[in-house]
Amino acid sequence: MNIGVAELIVLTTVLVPVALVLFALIGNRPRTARFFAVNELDPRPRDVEHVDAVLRLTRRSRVAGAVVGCVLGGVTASASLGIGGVVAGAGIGLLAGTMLGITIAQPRARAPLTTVRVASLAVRDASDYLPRRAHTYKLVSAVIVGGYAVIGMITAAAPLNSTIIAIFATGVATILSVPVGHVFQQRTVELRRPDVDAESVRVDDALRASALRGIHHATLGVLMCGLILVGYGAIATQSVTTVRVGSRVVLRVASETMFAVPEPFVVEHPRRYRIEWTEPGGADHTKIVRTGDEPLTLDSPSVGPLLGVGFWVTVVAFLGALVEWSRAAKAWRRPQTTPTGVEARV
Amino acid sequence: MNVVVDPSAGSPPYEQIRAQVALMVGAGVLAPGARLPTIQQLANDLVLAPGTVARAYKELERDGIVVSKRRKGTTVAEAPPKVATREIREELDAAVQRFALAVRQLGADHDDALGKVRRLLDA
Repeated sequence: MNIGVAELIVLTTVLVPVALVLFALIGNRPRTARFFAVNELDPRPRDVEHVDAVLRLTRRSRVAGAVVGCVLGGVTASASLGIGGVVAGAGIGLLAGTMLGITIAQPRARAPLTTVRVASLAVRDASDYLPRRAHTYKLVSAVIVGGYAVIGMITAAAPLNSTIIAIFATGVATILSVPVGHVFQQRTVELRRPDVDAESVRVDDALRASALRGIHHATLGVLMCGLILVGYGAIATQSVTTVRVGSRVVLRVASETMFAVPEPFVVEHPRRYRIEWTEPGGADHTKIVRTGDEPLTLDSPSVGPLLGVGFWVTVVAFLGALVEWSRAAKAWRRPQTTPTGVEARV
Repeated sequence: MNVVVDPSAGSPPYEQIRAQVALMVGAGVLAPGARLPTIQQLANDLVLAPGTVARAYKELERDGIVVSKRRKGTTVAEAPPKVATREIREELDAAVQRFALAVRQLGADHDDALGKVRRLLDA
């Protein structure tokens, strides 16, 4: 397996931190006492028992989701993306798995069903349980991912091979995590509230807020992973080789492209020339070029304007993904931002 | 504000929800424009099928008590029909009689029972 510059960058910036992330994931054990303390709740025995069960379930689900996602992401990406893609795929799988795990492990109804059922008419709104400006952060992140992907596609060396298209498409597809996350949040908010007793409602609200905060940060984390992929795609497509007739560029291709003619070639005045090349993805192409009286030359690989930007986008997105993932895993430690807002609405 | 559903009662669950919400709106406890929970939320909390709550909301909408909009959800109508004071008083009398009967049958201390009621009302 050939390891290029882009793969080395991904390896050095991703592999070691991913190991640290895995360690942090397994080590982040929720503490019931701390949950009650940060939310300023009264630790009644029945509530402690309930919260303990929910937090334990959340942690197990989160770790299981992360491990399964990491393995699945890595295996899937290994089909075509090389070692850098495997690491990135594993990272995205880890985040997506964490999100799924957090979503599955939601507050469960605890009390056995009684004959008479009581429900509050207070409206439970996802925005009441989320951190401040949560929607703005998600919107801005999604716009950056989409915008950068579009710019990368427009300025990439043509023709793009299927691998690069897959990277961009996957990156853009991560935008879907926003509506998916929203559905999960809404579902969590609408789950059954077992008790309308005031103190139980506060505990239930704190659990829901913790769950929604976790989903929110995991969504941002997935968006950051999408940005990593798009940045990686930009790096891969901005390192280009050009074929010129005189000073006129007749062909721009990814620098890993193999030409049928030994490089570098300079052909003097043959009038017409058949160029044959194979993309990194394996696709073969042919192009007939009219040269006239000018020489046909193949330039050595050069970098496009987005390469430097792509590198820094990848690095920043990776750091952002780490931060968001960490916040998702530690959501249970954060207090609810609007603890009384929900019941006050009716 | 809470709604109660008793499956062993004579009327079906959707009718119990409809009657209670209509009473609360008619008595002015639920103000015009106030949002009601989503069908899914209320159905989950009451352990009912979503269709049961949807039917209650539909009948409330038909009676002009609530308004349902795609993005805003279900809200109390701006000018809902009022419930007569006499009807509210009759409902209250019936509830008090049920409570008094239960206190007597359980042999509970009257002050203790009244204290519990006061605490519930103040909560």
